[in-house]
Amino acid sequence: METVMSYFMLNPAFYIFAGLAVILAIFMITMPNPVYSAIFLVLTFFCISVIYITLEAEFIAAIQVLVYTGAIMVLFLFVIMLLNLGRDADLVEHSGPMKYISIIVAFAILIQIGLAAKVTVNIGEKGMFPIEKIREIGNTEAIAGLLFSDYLYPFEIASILLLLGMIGAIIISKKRSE
Amino acid sequence: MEALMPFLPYIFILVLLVLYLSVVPIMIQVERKVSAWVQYRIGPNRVGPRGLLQPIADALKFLAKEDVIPNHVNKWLYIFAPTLMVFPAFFVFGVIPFGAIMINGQEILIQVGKTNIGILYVLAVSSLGVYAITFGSWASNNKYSLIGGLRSAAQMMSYELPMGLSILGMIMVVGSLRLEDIVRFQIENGWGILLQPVGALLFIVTAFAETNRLPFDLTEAEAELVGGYHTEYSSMKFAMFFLGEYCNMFTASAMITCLFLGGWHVPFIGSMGLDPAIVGYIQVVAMLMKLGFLMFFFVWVRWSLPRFRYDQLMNLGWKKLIPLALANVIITAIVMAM
Repeated sequence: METVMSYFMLNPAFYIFAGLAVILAIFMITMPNPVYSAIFLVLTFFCISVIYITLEAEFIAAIQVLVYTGAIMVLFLFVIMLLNLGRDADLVEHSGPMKYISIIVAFAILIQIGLAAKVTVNIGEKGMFPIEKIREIGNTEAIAGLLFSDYLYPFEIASILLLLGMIGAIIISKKRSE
Repeated sequence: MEALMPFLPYIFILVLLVLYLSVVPIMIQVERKVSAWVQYRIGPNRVGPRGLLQPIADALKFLAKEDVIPNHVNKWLYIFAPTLMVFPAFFVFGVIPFGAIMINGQEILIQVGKTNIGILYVLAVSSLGVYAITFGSWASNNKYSLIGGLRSAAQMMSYELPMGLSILGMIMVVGSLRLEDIVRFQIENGWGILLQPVGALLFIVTAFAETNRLPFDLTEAEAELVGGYHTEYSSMKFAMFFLGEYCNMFTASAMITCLFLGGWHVPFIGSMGLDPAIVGYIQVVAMLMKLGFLMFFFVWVRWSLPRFRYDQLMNLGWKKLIPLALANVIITAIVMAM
């Protein structure tokens, strides 16, 4: 019989990289220099993709690295480097008491999420895609099969939205240059 | 032999690592000799018989040089960047199948990592290569380096798209992301370069851009940027960038071989009636020979073609290669549906 604890008996690599991801994320928000922040965000994404691999979701892991780490973050770094924001000392934000209040609020939200997670972890019947089935048919095939059958319309709508975003960006940049 | 079986993956790792590291000095020698022949020179011929020991002399020179860290650089990133350069190339190499040999009547694939995402893994990890150049260029705190790094980031981003799309046609034909399945499919149905000629051409062109080789080496255009992203680097750190470039070339050659040149397949070998065990070894040698030819091809192109201008590079990438790759995908889909 499965217990709640068996949910937490994962690959030790999961805990190592999950911890690392949290630490790197903290580094990311505390670094004064935006280039460093971007670098730590890249490393955080990398850790998250390793977490996906430990959870046997190789497809998502590859896409995570390919899209976020390999493409989006390169653009981020690109923009930050082009802007050349100046010395670190000029970039430190002086927000006063707000800083401490926000830390308290953040912890409160964290506790809330923790409590919510504790309540909702329940083990009922397995869904259509338990891990055994995914192992059998393969990760990519499982996602592709769902994406192009049951979720075809949401998938198409998402791609139209992305296309709109792209066209919008082109129009905005065109206007400025004229 | 039987006792060795559990250690087979580790043996493969060791063999591939040695192969990988020994390719670089060989390639440096080939590069220098071929460039000399193309330019009607003799090339290195003083160190050892016919200049064959020149790579060892080069390596010793890199090791013996003073390791200078300039005062104006960002020290941590400056040291970190060159180490990052070889990492993606090494990672990708793990999933490339080198052949299938028979041991005790059992077919064993010479491949370290068997993932069911195959090509996606290759694309994902090789997209990390841009960070080494970007970090190195930014940390150098030098305008030439920075321009080189920015060019590199834009170039690699632009050429990743046609690269992915050019493989897509092949994946659609084969119906699997696994590199070993793609090679097996080609053994049965003919090489990828015949099934997907446009895809093969696009992939080879984009591979040149992704490895920063001429005619797309805008990131280190000597005439404009001194040395590009590695202007401030010297001794072993420079050597790491150098090593990374050749490792990337080797990986790109391996990908081209697996996707479009039939991997370890030798045409008509099945009908010769040879012992399957011997065929396996012949095919591994064939794979290495194909890799060798492609590496030579990289060098050959470098010393034959002039460098693109930057706007030409971008126009080629976005206005020609991407539409062509998309058309290839659509036509492949239509042909397959018929």
